[in-house]
Amino acid sequence: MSQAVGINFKKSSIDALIAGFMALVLFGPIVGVVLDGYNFNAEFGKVAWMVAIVAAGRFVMSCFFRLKKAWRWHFVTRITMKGWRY
Amino acid sequence: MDIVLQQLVNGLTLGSVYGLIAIGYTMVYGIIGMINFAHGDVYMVSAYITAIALALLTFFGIESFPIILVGTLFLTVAVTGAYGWVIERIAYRPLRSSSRLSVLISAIGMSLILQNYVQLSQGANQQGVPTLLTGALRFHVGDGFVQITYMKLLILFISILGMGVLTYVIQKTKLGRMCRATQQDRKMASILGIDTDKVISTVFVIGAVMAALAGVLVTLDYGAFDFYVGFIIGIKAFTAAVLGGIGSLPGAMLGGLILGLSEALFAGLISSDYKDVFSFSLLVLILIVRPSGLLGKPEVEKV
Repeated sequence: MSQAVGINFKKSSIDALIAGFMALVLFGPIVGVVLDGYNFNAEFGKVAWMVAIVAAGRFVMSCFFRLKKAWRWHFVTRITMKGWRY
Repeated sequence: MDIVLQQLVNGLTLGSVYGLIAIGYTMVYGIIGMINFAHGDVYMVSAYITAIALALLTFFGIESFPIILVGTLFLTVAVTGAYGWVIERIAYRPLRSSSRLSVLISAIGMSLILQNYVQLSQGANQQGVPTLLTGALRFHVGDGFVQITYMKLLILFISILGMGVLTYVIQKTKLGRMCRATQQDRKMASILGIDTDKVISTVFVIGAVMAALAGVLVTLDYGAFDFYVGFIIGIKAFTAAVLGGIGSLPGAMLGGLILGLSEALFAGLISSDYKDVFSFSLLVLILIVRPSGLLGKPEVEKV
């Protein structure tokens, strides 16, 4: 089914891992280590959330953009039609 | 006499820092013909990373100054370089075929995003780092003396080293040749097999790395910074890039040195309140005489 639709979970997972790593590099120091005078407070929970959100978002986007064109339109129209109905 | 010499020393260090940051503006302008308005904020991010790296290294019990300096430089350059790359990917690459105005707005937006992101994460208060390198060289001149702190010497040394390495990379290496080719004619460089997108990303990373060097050095010297610190120094570095001729690498360094020296001399000899007025007046005067800056080439309209 996934091949017919065009989804490639392996490639999308690698994409998500790379995006998560970049998010860790970017947000890790600034968000995770909050300066307090010459000391710091660790906020690693926030960083974990941000990395998870970025990786999940990238995974979804990657899956979506790897879909075959017809399936991409099928999903978009289904989502928008639902939106209009409610 | 000693005041003039002292201000010359101060001006040289200030100018070399302006030069380092101006390189980022001038390289990006040279390659895509746009001003990276987020560059000052990349410098601000590097100031925060410096303090964070210092705090982390101290937390792990490292107290040797050379190890702290190298560790801080490494961490700051790596993280700030990543910021430069991401800024290009998010704010510039998707708009490559759009109008120049869209890219300009996107860059201003990225600058505001960075400022607010750091303010939200780290708080709005001014931050500081402890003085790590004390001591100075003193030279007696007449009745007075000229003092050069070790930190200022270090700033001069690392700035000259950074500029030297960059000049070598641009002039002598394959990467530099690709950068120069992309700067001269992006379409033709692309036809000849150069991955221009990768070159543009690399230029953003190089600019961010230079800003990171400046960020580490200035933060270690002055000790205080906040989330707004990138704006003023960004404007000054942009002025230096325009003064030297935007798009020209030696021009950015020369512009930075002239701006730093004129600012320091005016502040020491006449008034520190109006030093910015003087340096910007100097910019206006030079642009009246040479509209393309000191080492810039006038743009030729191709028919």
